Amino acid sequence: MREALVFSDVQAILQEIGKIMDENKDFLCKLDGALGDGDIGLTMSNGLRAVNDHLRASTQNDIGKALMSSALEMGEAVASTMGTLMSSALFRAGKAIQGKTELSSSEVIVLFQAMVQGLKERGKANVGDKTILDSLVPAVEAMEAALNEGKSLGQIMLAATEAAEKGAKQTIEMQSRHGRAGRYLERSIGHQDPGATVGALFVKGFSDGVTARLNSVD
Amino acid sequence: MSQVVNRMKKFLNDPENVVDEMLEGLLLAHSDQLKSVRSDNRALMRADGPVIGKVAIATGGGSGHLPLFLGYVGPGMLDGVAIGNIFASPSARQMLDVTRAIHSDAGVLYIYGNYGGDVMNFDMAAELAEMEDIRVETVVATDDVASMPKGNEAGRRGVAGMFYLYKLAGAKAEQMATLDEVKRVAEKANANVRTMGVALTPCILPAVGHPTFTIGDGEMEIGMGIHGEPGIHRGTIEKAEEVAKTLVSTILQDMPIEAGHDVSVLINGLGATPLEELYVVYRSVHQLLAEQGICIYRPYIGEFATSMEMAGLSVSILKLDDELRSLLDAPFQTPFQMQK
Repeated sequence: MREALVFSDVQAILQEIGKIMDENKDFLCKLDGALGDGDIGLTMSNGLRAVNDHLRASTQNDIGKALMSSALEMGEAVASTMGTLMSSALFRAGKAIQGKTELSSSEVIVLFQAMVQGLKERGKANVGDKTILDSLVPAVEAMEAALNEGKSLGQIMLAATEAAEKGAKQTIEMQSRHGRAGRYLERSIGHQDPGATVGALFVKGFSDGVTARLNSVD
Repeated sequence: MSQVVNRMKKFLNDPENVVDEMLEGLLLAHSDQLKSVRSDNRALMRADGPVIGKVAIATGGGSGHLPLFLGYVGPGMLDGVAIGNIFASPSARQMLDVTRAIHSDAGVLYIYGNYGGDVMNFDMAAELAEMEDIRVETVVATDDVASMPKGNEAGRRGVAGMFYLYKLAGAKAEQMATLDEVKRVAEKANANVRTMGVALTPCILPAVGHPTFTIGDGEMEIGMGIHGEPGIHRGTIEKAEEVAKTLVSTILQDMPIEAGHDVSVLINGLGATPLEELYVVYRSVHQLLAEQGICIYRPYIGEFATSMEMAGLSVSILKLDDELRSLLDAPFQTPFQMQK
């Protein structure tokens, strides 16, 4: 089994993330309807479509550059807060791995770390605020631990998926402190955060994509 | 009794196209002053730009507030603007496109209004511009006293008082000052301006077709934002002089001004309030300040930051010193206004 991702793998992984966002479009909108304006599913579905349309037409091998330019396409396609945050996160991910035509496990972790850092800086939120960070940060921590234990990229992503899902579920008990949902105060308790759910789906889509690609090619 | 719903009564074609059709009309009318930097017209700049050697100033934000934001592009004011949909932030790409088009070699200053989406997109645009070796600095306008209590000034919204940031920084840039100097003036203007608003009726988003909130008959809301953000007090509508007193005293509590000090005052109509009423309120503002020994220098009365057909107004007070006064005196020209 291969252990590094090349550009065509990244293309396939983002297709998988787009697919999972499409499948969960209504679910996400329903979650968002309880705490926001109910369009987060559309944002993610349309945003990933813009990314994938761009990546499909992309001819370069530089994974970082391709992610950066597709992030801008996403920002243009979906200018809502979540769209801008995801676009920012993808952009930072791309910037962090600029010049790479292959990604090792540790570089995949760098990509996710940069996403988290970008989201923190751009959204000015922290873990515990009931945002996407509450699924992505535990995912990154799980990835780092799995890498230290010498796990394969596929195993690392499985650990990340589990941690992200757990993190998203834990937002049910949290109170929103950020953005539009912050206005709901204690009424936000009892609802799973749509942003954290997006984070968990993103990691799951990434993991599924990794597994499919690395298993399919010898 | 059934509830009366105010249906939309506007001059529109397809409500979805209002921004694009507005921009086409604007460019047809003012092609001598503005030009587009994108095929979709969602980023505009001075027709005579970029001005070589001058710090370029960019702004941006959602549509639905004319003359904010694009109405301040012109000599003595701003160099470019990114235009979003109604009440929605433009994208980072639009802002980057403006930045690339207006910058010469003296750097770019972003001045805009402290709304979540705009902040994220301008920050991202600045990051992108810096990767292209364009130096960008940012000043975020935070003049709306009602939007956050004292001590939390940095979290306040930018509203009509933003005019002064544009005007003063624009004048400084026109003098070929450095980016640091232009930024300093914009920050100084922001530190010395406060705005308080009051609304009588809501606005209607064309794509929605009915008011997104209501203000009861005979009611007014002090401190309402230009997108209908909740204010700090809703009550029975009062006489103009009482309203003026509330707005002015709230501003002076937030930013004390000593007797003998000069200020500029801006009375801004929110879209559906006639000039007559703005002058009625100005009269009271003038009297109230005079009673405290504060002189008004160069008042501005008209529409500066609107919210479509919202009835209401805001009062902005800018504390002046010699530097700000001379920058205020400098000429400017935009498609909407001119000062000789």
